Amino acid sequence: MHGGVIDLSDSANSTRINESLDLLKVVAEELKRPLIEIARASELATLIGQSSLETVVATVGTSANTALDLIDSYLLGLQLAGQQQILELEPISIGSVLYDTAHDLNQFAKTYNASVQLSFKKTQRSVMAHGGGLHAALVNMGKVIIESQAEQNTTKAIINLGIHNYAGLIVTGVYSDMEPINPTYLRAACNLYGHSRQPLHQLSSSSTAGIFIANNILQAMSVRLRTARFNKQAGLAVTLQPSNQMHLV
Amino acid sequence: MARLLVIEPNTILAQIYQTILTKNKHKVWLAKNAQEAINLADKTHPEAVILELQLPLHNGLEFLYEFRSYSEWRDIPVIIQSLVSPNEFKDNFVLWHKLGIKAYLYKPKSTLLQLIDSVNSNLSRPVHNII
Amino acid sequence: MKQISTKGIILSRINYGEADRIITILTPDYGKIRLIAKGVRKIKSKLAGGIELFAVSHITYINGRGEIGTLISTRLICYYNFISSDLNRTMAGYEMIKQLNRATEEISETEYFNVLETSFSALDDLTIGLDLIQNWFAIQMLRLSGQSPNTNRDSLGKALSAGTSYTFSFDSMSFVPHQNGSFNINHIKILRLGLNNNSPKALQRITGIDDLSKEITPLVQTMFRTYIRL
Repeated sequence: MHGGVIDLSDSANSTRINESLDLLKVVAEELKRPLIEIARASELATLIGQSSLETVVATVGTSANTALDLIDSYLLGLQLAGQQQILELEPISIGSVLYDTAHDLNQFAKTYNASVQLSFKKTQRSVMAHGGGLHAALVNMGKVIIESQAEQNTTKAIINLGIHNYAGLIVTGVYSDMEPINPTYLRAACNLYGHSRQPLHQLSSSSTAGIFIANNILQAMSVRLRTARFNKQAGLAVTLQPSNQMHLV
Repeated sequence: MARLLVIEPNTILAQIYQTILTKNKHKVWLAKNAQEAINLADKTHPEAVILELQLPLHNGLEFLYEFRSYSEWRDIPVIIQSLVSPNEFKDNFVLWHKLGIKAYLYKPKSTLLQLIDSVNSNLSRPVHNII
Repeated sequence: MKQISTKGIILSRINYGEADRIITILTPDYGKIRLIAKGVRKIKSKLAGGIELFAVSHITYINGRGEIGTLISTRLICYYNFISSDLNRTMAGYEMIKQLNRATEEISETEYFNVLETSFSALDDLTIGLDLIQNWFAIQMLRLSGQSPNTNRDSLGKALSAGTSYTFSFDSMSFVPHQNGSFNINHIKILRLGLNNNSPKALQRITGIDDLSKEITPLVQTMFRTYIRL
């Protein structure tokens, strides 16, 4: 404080730096897992010989891609949240985003004995969003939910990517037969990443970095990650403004 | 050969541990969370437990306190194999002693060979310390 | 037989026969009680449901002929689930339960329920420092056992003052003025506020509380180990 004036910019910058560091901590923690999978899979191949090589190689590939996707999403979130890029929202086809998301989640889901389905009507309106950001957020949300289902259930999980209308807005999200997450618990967790090893321990054993990266991306679009229910399933979703403009397919 | 209960939420790592321990002539059951582990322990009567501390819903310490509250399970050796560094704990050594933790393997640093060695060496040493 | 309803926190569970468990519960109305929970071995209850640790549950039971009653039903009122998200807090929670259970073997003060409930609530709030919570718990245990340190006057009977440094005498449970003492008026204020039953949440608002808590930890924990019979 100088001459009775509080320099808000310093305080705001300090908060942003701390939040970035917190997110970096949780991302770094999360990255340990695929790297350990790769290390142990290669060690296993060395110890037991060629007989299980195919499985091991597949594991290495999946784990490496998981790690790379996480890093990419984290960097995208930084870009969108920072001043380096003026965030351009444009009318996008929400259905297209979900098709792409399902495609990206499909292989990942198979590793965890889950399947991904699309649950929306063919004709859907456009929404104002950052297409790449929304796609990355939904993929990250989907991966955490898929892993969570695998940790808590033995049966094959069905993950639904859904769209529905609510009060003139469009809600899209990832849903499963998980226990509904308390909205207060989710909000508290979004303030705790970087300070708690398992901020969403009721959802998953991991640091659930994907959820916080998704939240970071969505906040850059001035929307919020929230809990939701759809077709008797619970999950995580985002509410978006519909667009009346023609969308670019 | 021993009956082992491996509590590991990560599907990929669980399969790797099961493969290598089975190759070393052990019978392995996998659990992904604390509740499943208690149920399996009841059915399979493990001779040792390999435990990840970072679990969904209830953490590995909660499992361990619950596990040790049953008299028939107080002497079963427990090996921690975890993403959590042992340096994160305050006063850990006293607690590990009380909870009958025979070894602590930090996943980023420990190898599968170390896991096998740890299991084999601790199966022959009973646990005497109870909470 | 008349059914009794109250709320409680589980302190311990032990096997009893083939299918039963004896549960020790701390209640605000009846202090510490022991109940037999029939048919709850392993498969049904354990880590979920009405008899969780780190939770306050509503319990209904009937008194038995001896010291052990029979548990009829339980229902979760409040589950402090963030304690599970942090391993150090989980350990701290278990230690508090164990220490309180042992310290109350001979006595059954109902105030201990409030101490444990407040401690759980603080452990559940990850913004409250763990050192502070553990010190607060120890201070409450000392207070309830009548072993509080003197936080108003020094060993010579003079009022404690700012600008003076102190050491601590465990014999007289008072602060002794000393040129090279480790404690000052700020440390003593924290102890005083804790003894006056201010909650950890309230204490967390004090500027510099995290450092002060760390600094008084050896003192508080030594007092606890010296005067609380476990």
